[in-house]
Amino acid sequence: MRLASMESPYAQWARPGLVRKLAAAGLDIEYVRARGNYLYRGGAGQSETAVLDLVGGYGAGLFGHNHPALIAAAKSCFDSERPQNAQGSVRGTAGQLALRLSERVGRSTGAEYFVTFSNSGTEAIEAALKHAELERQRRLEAVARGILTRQHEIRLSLQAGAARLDPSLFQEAKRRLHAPIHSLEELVLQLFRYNARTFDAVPQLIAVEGAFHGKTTGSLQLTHRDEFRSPWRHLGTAVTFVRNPAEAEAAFQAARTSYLGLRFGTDDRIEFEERSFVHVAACFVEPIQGEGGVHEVPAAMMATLRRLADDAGCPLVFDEIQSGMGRTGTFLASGRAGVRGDYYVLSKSLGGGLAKLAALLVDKERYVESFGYVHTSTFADDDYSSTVGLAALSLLERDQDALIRTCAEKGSYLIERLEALRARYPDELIEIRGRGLMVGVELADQTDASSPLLRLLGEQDLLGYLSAGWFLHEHGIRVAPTISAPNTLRLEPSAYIELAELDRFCSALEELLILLRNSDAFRLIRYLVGRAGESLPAGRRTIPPPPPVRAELGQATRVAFLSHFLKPSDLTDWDTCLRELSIDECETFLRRTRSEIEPFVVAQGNVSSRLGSRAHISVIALPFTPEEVIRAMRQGDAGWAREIVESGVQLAQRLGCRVIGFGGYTSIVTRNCETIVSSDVALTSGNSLTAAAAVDAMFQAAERKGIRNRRLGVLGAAGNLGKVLAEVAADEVSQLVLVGRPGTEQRLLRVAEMICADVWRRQVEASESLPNDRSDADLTGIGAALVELAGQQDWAALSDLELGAKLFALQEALGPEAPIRVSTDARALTACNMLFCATNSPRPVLLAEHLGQGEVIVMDVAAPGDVHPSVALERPRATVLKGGIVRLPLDQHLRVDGMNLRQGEVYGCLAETIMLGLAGIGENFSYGMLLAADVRRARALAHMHGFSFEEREVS
Amino acid sequence: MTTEQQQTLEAIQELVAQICAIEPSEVRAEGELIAYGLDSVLALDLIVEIEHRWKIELPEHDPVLRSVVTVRDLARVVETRRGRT
Repeated sequence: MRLASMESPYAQWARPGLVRKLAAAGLDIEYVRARGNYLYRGGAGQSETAVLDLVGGYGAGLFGHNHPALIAAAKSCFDSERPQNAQGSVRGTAGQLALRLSERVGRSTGAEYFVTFSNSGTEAIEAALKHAELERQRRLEAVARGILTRQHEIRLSLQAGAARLDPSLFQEAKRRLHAPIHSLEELVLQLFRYNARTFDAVPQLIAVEGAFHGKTTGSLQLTHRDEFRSPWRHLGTAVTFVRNPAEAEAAFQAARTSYLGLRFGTDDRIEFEERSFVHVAACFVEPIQGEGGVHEVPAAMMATLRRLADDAGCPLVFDEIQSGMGRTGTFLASGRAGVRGDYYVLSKSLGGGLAKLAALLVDKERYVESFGYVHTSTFADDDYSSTVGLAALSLLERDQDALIRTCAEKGSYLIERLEALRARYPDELIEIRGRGLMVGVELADQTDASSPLLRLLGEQDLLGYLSAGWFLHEHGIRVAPTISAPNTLRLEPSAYIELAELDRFCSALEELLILLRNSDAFRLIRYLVGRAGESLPAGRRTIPPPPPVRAELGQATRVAFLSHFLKPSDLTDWDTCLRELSIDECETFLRRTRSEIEPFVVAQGNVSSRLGSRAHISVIALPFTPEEVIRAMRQGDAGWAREIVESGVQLAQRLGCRVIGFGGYTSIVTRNCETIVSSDVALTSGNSLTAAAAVDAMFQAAERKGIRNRRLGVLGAAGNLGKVLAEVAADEVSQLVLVGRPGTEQRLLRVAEMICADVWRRQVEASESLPNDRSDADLTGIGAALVELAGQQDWAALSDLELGAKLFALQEALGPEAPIRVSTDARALTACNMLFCATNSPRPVLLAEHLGQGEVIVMDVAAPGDVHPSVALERPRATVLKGGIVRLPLDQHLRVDGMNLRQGEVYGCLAETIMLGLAGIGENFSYGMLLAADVRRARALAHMHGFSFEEREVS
Repeated sequence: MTTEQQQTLEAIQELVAQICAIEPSEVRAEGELIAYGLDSVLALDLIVEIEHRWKIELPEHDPVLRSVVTVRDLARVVETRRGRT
């Protein structure tokens, strides 16, 4: 079943990945109307629901939604038929807006500016990059011109006899330039070569750690977050991100190269002149970082960058896209630090929330005139955007900047209230940052929460995201986390926000903080299953056990085991805080969040072998259930499940694991690990020890029940698992009945023949290695019976196929007493007192009528189970066992929340993973088809290291 | 895809449904055989049926079968063996 939002045209035709992400947090909402401080959901027959908007278009909504004055300006622009497409002409309205912006910014800097308009903030950053590089080239040209001018002057002076070339100059030239030089012309040529490294150097860019300057290929190099930048790092100029003044100094220093020129020295002698050039094209700063988590860049840092930029001659660019236009209580946020920029970038609210508009202001003294010609854009300088921009500025400046003052006042009110909350909830609310109506609220990351889900959400940066969904569904308030600091909620409401509305947010936030304090994961996520706003009686909460203590690594081999929930309700076993969820709700939650929750470590521990070696196991949980995987595989759409398994493998590798076990459907979806491409780890499906555990537990139970004459049936014997169980057990039983579904006769026969050949050969080998004084009477099982039947026949040289066929035919003559029989009728099992069920049938196939009335042990290793309920009702002497459970060596215990096992017990596949670590096995095991030889080896290794096998009756 | 290829695909979808005891409509061309419960036993049944119906040889250990993941993959193998791809 898919989410409704995933069926929307937006998901189907525009942004599937984004909608899936939104859906995980319940933010997959379509808004149909907006006005003032509110967005409206619903419509089209449904009643509208108002949502208080504190996201404010990521800062574009300073004037609220659809401000009447701005709408009027926009309308007037259309009504008066202003030209929208008059590129390559004198754009009057754009000119007026440029003048107004230059004046407004100049009011605090004292400078005048040329303004380059564009359609979005990131484009304005691109323009800044281009202009800055143009400036750097101008600076380089000036340096080159200076060198050439001086050389020209020297030449003239030499001709006039007013200067002289001392031999020491040529000696020094040889040393510095590594070339023999005898004349001025040779010297000039070598200097040109030497200086080429300076003149050809690539531009360097400097930005502040945590910066966000946009996502186009140039600007994204300045955006610090790796996820946005790294894939495209080859498309742009590398940027040095600096954290503090010292790093900034170092970055500028690293961009410095020296060059050599000549000058007039003392006594008319010509001498070398060494100077340097700093290749920093520009230094970019957001005075208050928005996406980075609302961090104000300290004034000392701003001052250092100003000084360094001046030394280098490069522009200091203030990106005020979010913080400008008065949002922080002053027109420019940078004004407060008392540091002047050379370029200013404005956007967001500049377009009044209606027009896509951005502006780059370049100090007139630096402006390169040709830029206005080489950097243009079809839609820039248009009348519509310019008209709205002018109206927005007027609105802002009305009544001596009343709106800007409002931002300061309301911001102070909000921050004061938030600080009061922080004082009451210091463990839940870490920090309040920002100025005016640009505020960041940082939540604690929940590392110590008693709810495993909350710990996980914090660890995987999903807490802010889920909190945003919670605010929306529980309180009708829209907030968003910042991208680079996902536990920080960013508040950028409109300047018209009411104090009562800010109060409303603060009350809701307090509710969230209480919920976090109580580790009440259910109340946080219940909106995702449609239970927002439900009133719950107090005191029904279950407190889960405290987080497990992370095990010390010490001298242990690291291994990992990939697992997943077997059924949706395992979610509530893993996190008992979620007990309130029904099975369907568990499924809904898992389905919604699956794409966002990364594989995570659910348990860790050390296990020691009886022989002394140690393994450190990390159990990694993957967010899917078998049902989802099967459904996806049937639709040929299981790629996502394989991707999740692969990211689980990557996590294991990051943890330094040498062995990775694939539990449950992680092995099915990867075809028993075969689709995993990995060279430096050992992979295992863990099937060998699971099979060995089933065999061992079966024999233990037989021992306990006093079953002597062992007649073993295998239902599903033509399948891989059934066949291997039969092969492994064959040595220790006196009769074997192989049963398969109709149509598998030939296959069963082949299995039987192969077992005949195998046990006969091993029996012969065993008897040959026995001391001479012992007789054949010591040998038991089918092998012994076959050896006896075959008598003195010398069959050792036969192929397995021939040998098997001869042996099978020979023993078949014994009729019902034959050691190995095959049948496609399950009633052939009635004489068995031991039975493995290993079919693939989706329905139970072992009925009461298939069993005799006597003592019988049934080991059901099929999933789903093969044993029909009638067995328990009608065959009281049948003991039905669940297979595959292993006890750790030396009474050790591994706590895995969500795996319902008793003290000391683990699943066979998990045990095999640990065992390979203990045994130091570095190559793949139980990889691809299950083999009897691997099962025997796993069984032997397990015994050696002290594992034991559990028999567990199915209740 | 030609009509004949389409017919082969549909016939194989029906066979898979029959052998795995599920509704033919549940068997998608891009579905993975293993997901319909087609383990090694049932796979053998399926191969026997295919060999019989199309009069082709498809030994169980034929390397070409290792690359078969989906229903469509299997239909392609059958088409190749029949000599018209």
